[in-house]
Order: sequence, then structure tokens, then C-alpha cells
Amino acid sequence: MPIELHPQSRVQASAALRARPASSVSLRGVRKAFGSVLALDGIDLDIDPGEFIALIGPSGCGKSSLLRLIAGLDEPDEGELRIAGADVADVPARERHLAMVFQAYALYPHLTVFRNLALPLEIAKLDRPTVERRVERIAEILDIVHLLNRRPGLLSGGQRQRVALARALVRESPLYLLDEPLSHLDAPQRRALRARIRTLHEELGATFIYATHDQAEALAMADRVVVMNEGRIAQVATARGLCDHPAPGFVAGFLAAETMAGALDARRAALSAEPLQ
Amino acid sequence: MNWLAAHITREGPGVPRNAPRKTGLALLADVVRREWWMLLELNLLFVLFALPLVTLPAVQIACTRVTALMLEDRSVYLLRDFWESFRARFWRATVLGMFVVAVIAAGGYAAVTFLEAARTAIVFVLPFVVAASATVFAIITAVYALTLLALSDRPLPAILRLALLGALARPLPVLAALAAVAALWVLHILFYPASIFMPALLNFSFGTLILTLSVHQAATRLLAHDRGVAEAGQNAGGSAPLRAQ
Amino acid sequence: MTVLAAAGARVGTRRRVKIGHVLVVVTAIVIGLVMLAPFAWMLSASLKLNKDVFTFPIQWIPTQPRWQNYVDIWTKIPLALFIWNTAKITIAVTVLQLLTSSLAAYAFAKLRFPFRDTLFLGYIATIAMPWQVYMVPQFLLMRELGLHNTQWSLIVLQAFTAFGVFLMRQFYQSIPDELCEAARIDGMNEYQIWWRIMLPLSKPALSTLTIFTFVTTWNDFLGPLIYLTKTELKTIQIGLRMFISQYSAEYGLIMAASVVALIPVLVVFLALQRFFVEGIASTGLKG
Repeated sequence: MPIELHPQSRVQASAALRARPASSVSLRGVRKAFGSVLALDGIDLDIDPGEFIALIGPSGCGKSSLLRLIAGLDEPDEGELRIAGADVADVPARERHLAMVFQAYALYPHLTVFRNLALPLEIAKLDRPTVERRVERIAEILDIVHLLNRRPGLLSGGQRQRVALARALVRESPLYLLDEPLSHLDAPQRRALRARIRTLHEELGATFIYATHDQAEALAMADRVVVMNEGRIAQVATARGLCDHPAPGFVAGFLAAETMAGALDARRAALSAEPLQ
Repeated sequence: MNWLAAHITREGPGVPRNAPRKTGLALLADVVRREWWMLLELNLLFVLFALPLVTLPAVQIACTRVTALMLEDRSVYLLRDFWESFRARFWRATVLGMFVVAVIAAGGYAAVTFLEAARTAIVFVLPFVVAASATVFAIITAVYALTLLALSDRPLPAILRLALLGALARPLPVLAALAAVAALWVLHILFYPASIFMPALLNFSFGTLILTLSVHQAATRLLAHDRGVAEAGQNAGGSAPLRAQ
Repeated sequence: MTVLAAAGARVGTRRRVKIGHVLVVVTAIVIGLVMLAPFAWMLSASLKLNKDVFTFPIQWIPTQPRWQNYVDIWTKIPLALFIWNTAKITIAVTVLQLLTSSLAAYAFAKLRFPFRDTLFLGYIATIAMPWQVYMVPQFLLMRELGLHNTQWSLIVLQAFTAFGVFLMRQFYQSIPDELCEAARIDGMNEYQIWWRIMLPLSKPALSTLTIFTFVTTWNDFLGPLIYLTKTELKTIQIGLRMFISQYSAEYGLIMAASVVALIPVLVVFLALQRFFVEGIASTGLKG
């Protein structure tokens, strides 16, 4: 039986253990069009503080657009977006206190990996020992210590992706947006990093919104899964709920039967003590 | 003009996880290739801060520290590290610098005097040789002492003691480095004024890098051993000679 | 040498390509020599007596080089002061142009505000107007402001450049937007993004603009002619005219002073050209 704590109780537990804030996110009737292309068509979604939400769907369904909207890089044409209960329509991206992993990594090419990771902390005016401690710790967790004094130009795609992930996770913010953060890694690395991301989620207690095209990954890691199609939400459910009662039509066709079975196994493995490489 | 975006996003060769650490000239080439722009900036910083000549020893120490960080493959924040080293070690650097210069000058003067005297009476060749080698030894010790001060926070007598040990144990790399630095300056003099860019851009930082390279491995071992001896505590008083070099 | 040997013989396809290649190289060398000839003449004229400067056929290497010319130029006119003035103006203008151009280009390239593209096109359109068209109204304006006999007038007028904005904007557009977005999410305001991300990445464009601006301002003749009348404010280009008195023109000295005036431009060009090329393959982008 896959371990399935009720998301709310887990969140309450970690919130009791740490006084760290986690943001809730809620969208009401959000629409966004880029030119003539309708990327998001009436999104209604509520995400509780401290939840781990996965967004899955075919390419072009609007996962990245939704993340960019929440991040503040684009503005919705219609609808309301609230982060931590506050309407953020007038709040620019730099004041939203969230961290994002870009699909295209977006590493600063002229800085070493160490300085790439340290920069957001220095902008937040943390003192040097704290910065060094946090950077070294996240580098150990994501296995990039040997890359710290190299510039991104020398790194392979997988290494760059781990650095991009590290840059988001080194900040302790209440909301993390991850846009396909493991897509360029090979399978063993993906499995190891999935476990570490979950562990970090437990530790940080923050809200994670994780977009991926890998269904097994989404079902393995998330508290709830949001299936999107053509700019609309097709279904929102827990992994179990999705596998047991997929919505008829698109979702049922999207989730292949073998994926479901394999995903439940993967979830079991991910939530048990998997040895870290 | 998409070459820039294409250049940034092009996949790199990847950094191997367990590559053995380079040493010697390979390390020098590696550091230069990786950090050549920072070496230029360091040189400009050196020239700028050394303009009031009294700051010269402290500037040299700061420069040594930055090059040591580069050699240790750590990320360097140029201005911050330079300024902190400059400020923290200013007085000790000045005292050490003046002492070292005094000793070398005395040795050099003695050597030159004996050389002049040796023209008349050949017996003076012997003291000349003694004075000359003492001067060279003093120079090597000075290089060790400056690097040790840049790398640690020991009191000056301890630094001098460790520097003497280092100079006794491994003088040859320092001699090679000094020869290389001298060659840089000779090049500058030969091609003056066309080579006026050399001191402005290269000579100080690159020369310091070479000197630090020659001393770095021995210096870190000396410091580690000294720390181990101090931590072992009881019978490792200040006068006990280090047993294993 | 096989190529030359084959030049007269029947040639196959492979050798025909080589002949074309040789022709191109030879043409390039000839054109290069033609371009360099005036400078060579200037160099040789600077070592001649006044009466020998215009002898024809040109005596490329003077029989008795008159090195005294290079000493006289410093005493007959205050050349050192002129060099100092020119350097002051040129460096100030270059720095200001780099600053204003890169800031404006960042706004035009990466920020979104109403009428952005219209404003940009309008600004660029001013390049089409030659400066001689509006130099008189500008002078009147400077006179109203009381700046007309100071170096400030030159600096203030040349602190902004539409060409520089155009150049930097084209370069900034090639920097991926994701870098700016990542920087915004990291919490940087726009000035910090410009200073920490845009400027370090745009070294090739900055070098190009520096070369252009430095050379243009250093060689500027008409501006200082209009705005600087006091001798102690004059620049080199104006100062050289002081060698031309009522009865004679000392061409040897003029040539010598021109050679001296040429050196900083040459140094800047050669230095920045190296950074321009290496800036692309350097730590900035490839590591």
C-alpha cells in the first residue's frame, strides 16, 4: 500500500515544527493569450500552503504559462491571482518572494556556479558565512560540489540543470516553481534527485509547484496532481485518486494503464528510504 | 545577432567528477586560462592601491592571498577578498615587509662591498660568496614569509620560523619562480616603451601568481603541520623543530 | 610556388581556386598598402625640414632624419596641455556615452513601456540628420547657458548618442530574456540587473562603442573650433593650426605633432580590438 498521509496533516505537522511560512496560491478565472494563441483559458485552482503540486499535460497545454503567471513574468488578461491570500496583480516579480527553476536553466554565464548560487542570497543581503554555508550545503545535496568554481559554459546539460535547481533551492522562500527541472538528466540521476527534492520539501515546508511531462514522476512525488489540456484544467486529484478515478475522456486516455501501475510502485519506492547516491 | 544566445545555450563538455587535481605548470596554465580576466583586474587593483608607496607590502600580501584562492580552485570575489586581506593584515604586512627589505638590502650591500673588495684582494671572494648566498636565502625566505602571512593569521615570529623551515626544505621552486618574474621585468625593460602595458596589466598579478604557485604546496603543509603540532599541545613548544618535513 | 608555376599553364579546377585565392590576397595587400601610404608619408615628413616635405618624387626615407622636430613640437606650442585637454574631453565623453547608451538600450531592449518602439524609431531617425544642420542652434543654446567657452559644452553635447543606443540595443536583444527574468525573480531591481548581468555580458559591444567614440571625439575638429576660443582650453586638432602662422606653415612640425596625436588612438584601438575578439571566447561566455 502506498503511504498516503493526508496532505493537510503533513503540512500542519511540519508547520508546527518550523515557523517557516509557506504560501498558498489561488487562481480564479485566469485567462492569458499570447497574440492569437490562447495559452490559459479559465483556470481555477487552489493550492494549500506547503503542498507539493504537480502539473502534467501534453506540451503546449499551458504548464509553463501558468508558472510564469504565478511568478509574475507575465500578467493575466483576466482573472485573479492570489499568493498567500494577497492579490498580486500589482506586485512585480521581484517582490513576490518565490524561487523558480527555468526550463532553459537561465544561468548567468559570466559567473561561476558558486556565485550563481550565491547571488540571490547576496541580493537578499545575507551575511557571508550564511551564504557560504547554504551554498555548500545545497551543493552537497544536489551533488555539484565539483562544479562550484566553474562557469556554466563548461558544464554539460545535466550539470547545468542541477545548478539551476540548486539556485532555486538555495533560497528559503515560501513558494517554489519548478518547470521540468529534471528533464535532461538520465534515469538514475532523476530517481536520486526526486528523493532529494521531496526531502527538501519536507524540510523547507514550502509550497512546491512542479511542472513535468513525466507522468510517473508526477504521480510519485506530488500530494496532488493537476492535469492540464489546451489551457484548461482537466482534473485535480491525488495520485491515488487520479489512478482510481480518472476523469473520462482526456485524462483517462492520457494516463496509460501501465503508467499508473508503475507510478504507484515508484511512489512507494520514493516515499520509503531510498539510498542516496 | 543570435550568436550570443546560441553561444550561451550551446552544451558544454561537462566537468568530470573525479578529475585529479593538477599541479605545477599544468595548474598554472589552468588558472590562467580560467581566470585571466580576473588577473588583469587584480593587476589594475594592485597598481591602484600601491600608488601611495607605503601600502606596497600590504598590497602584495593581498595580491598573494587572491592568487592563493585562485590556485585552491575557490570562487574569488575580487574586490571583497582583496580589500579584506589588505585591511586585516595591513600592519603586520608593513612590519614584515620592512624587516624583510632591510635584511635583503643589508645582505645585498654586504655582498656588493665584498665584491668590490675582492677586486683588490682575492681573499674577499669567500665573504662575498657567503653574503651573496645569504641574500638569496633571505629572498627565498621572504617569499615564504609573505605567502605564509597571506594564508594564515599566525603571529610574525611563528611565520618567520616557518618561512625559514620552508626555505631550507624547498628552495628550488622559488628560485625558478623568481627567475620567471625577473624575466617578465627584463622583457618590460627591453621593449620599453612599447611594453608599457605589461606592468599595467600583467607583471604584478601574474608574477605573484607564479611566486605563490611555487610556495603554495609547501606553505600549506607547513601550516597544517604547525597547527597539528600546536593542537597536540604539551611538548610542542615554540622551539621544538618540526620533525617530518 | 607551385601555384605561381601553374599560373601560366593549363590549370585544373583545384588550381583555379588557388589562383583566385592568390589574386584576392594580392589585391588586399595592394589596397592595404594604398591605405597605409598617407601614414607612411606622414611619418617620413615628420622627420624632414620644412622645405623638403613636399619634394616630388617623394623621398620616403629622409637622408638626414630631423629628430629635432619631435622636440620642438613640445616647446613651440603647449602640446602637452592640448593632449591633456583632448584626453579629458575624450575620456569624459566616452564614459558618459557608454553609460547613457547602455542604460537606454537596456530599457529599449528588455523593458516594456508604452510607445517604446515609436520612441526608439524616432530617436534612431535623428542619426539621419548631419550635425552641421543643427550646430548653429546648438551653439546659441550653449551661449544662453553660458557654457560656450568651456569644455563642458563639448562634454554635455556629446554625452548622448543615438548610434550608441542602436548598437547596444541590437546586442542586448541577443541576450536571452530568461537571464533577465531569472534575475528579477532573484530579487534584483532593474539597475542591479543592468549592472550585474547586462554590462558584464556586453563587453564586445562596449569595446566597439568605445573604439568608435574615442576615435571620433579625439579627432573632432569642428566642435572644439566652435566652442573653444581660449588657448588653454584647446585640443590637439585645433592646436595644430597654431603651427600655421601668417607667413609660413611648418609642415614638419605639424606632421610630427600628428604622429604624436595618433598614438593614443592606435593604442586604444589595438587594446580594445584584442578584448573584442577575446571577449567572445572568454570567461564572459564560455568559461
